[in-house]
Amino acid sequence: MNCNIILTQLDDYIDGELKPGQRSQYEAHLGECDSCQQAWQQELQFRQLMKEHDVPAPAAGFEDRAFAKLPRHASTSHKSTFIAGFGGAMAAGIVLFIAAALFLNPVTQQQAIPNIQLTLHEAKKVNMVFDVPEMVAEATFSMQVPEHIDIAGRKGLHQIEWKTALKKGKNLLSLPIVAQSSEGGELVAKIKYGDQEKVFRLKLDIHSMEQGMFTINNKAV
Amino acid sequence: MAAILDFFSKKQSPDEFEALLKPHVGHLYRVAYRLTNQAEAAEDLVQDVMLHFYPKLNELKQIENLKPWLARSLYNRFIDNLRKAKRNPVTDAMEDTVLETITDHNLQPEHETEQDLMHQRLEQALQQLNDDQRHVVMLHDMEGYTLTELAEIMAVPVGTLKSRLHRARNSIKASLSMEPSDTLMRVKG
Repeated sequence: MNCNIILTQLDDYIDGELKPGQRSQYEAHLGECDSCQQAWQQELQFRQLMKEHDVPAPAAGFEDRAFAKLPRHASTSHKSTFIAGFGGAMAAGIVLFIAAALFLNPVTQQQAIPNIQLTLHEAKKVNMVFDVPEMVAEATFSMQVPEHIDIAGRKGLHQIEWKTALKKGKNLLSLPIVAQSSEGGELVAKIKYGDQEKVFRLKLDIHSMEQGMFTINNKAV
Repeated sequence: MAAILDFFSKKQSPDEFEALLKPHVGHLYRVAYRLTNQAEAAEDLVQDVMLHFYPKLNELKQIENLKPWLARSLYNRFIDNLRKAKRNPVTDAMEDTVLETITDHNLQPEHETEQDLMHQRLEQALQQLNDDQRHVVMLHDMEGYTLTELAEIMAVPVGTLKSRLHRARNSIKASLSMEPSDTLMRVKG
């Protein structure tokens, strides 16, 4: 075997696709050729990187939710046709918080803060829908959750900020949260765009029993 | 009497179904996430597969190696959903407006390591591949399916998968500045 054949068959060798006879010839060459050995090592490093590129863990309770649509569980499903419109969002507890007509109507008076109910230690998704009249190339979002409420899969992280673009029309933002104590609090979402800023507050009440879905429309403070 | 016994023996048991399938749910989620790249869509896909197989418990119990078998079903459902979405773009128009799912990608740790950055670049490189290449490289190199299993799952010949895999890896390496031709050229030179 020469070096060209070795390099051409490198994938097959690592994937275990070579026949035993070819494999032994292959390894004999690798044992005596530094260049090919280096190429092999580089390929192994690449494969290791690929293997380590993991998927994010599903939100807590996924194993149970996987069976939520079965006939026995059907009555406990929270899915609604409206939510289904958003890619069949979330079979587990859903909270929908709609912040409509973003940036269109400046808020001039204090409004009541909407509230949602969470079940202790149960992941629930707060879905926020931002209806934007025109595309926004760069908006800055920030979210703050109380200390005793975790962002699912991100324990200890209570404040986050990131930049993103908003498409014209409805934009869905989904935040799975878990209450770790029965103490309530407020989720605060801020959006900045240019010199404009809008703040949304959501009161979080914690209960120990199963709750249904709550829809709160156009509540901005 | 035999017919009655047979009827009862075939009656569905949710507990039995869950006991059989639960060990595979985590892996199915991983495959679903690789395909959809979105946690909620992955959950939905797994739920759909469970619902599809629920009336087929007795059939499932006869299958020796459930893992690739379930993966094939999940893949088929994913492809079916894609085709339906292409046929009916209006129904799925809302999907295009999804802004972010926070836990998926955009929670940045305070201190990013070099490895974190490398994985971000790898993710970008994966997103530049076409669907066929991305699926095969993810399921083979990341989830550990063999080419023979993938040929069965995707209903595509091994030779075609090999070629997709090769192109996908080269494209990723190029994006990560790990030019595959470097070594080859060095050897040839």
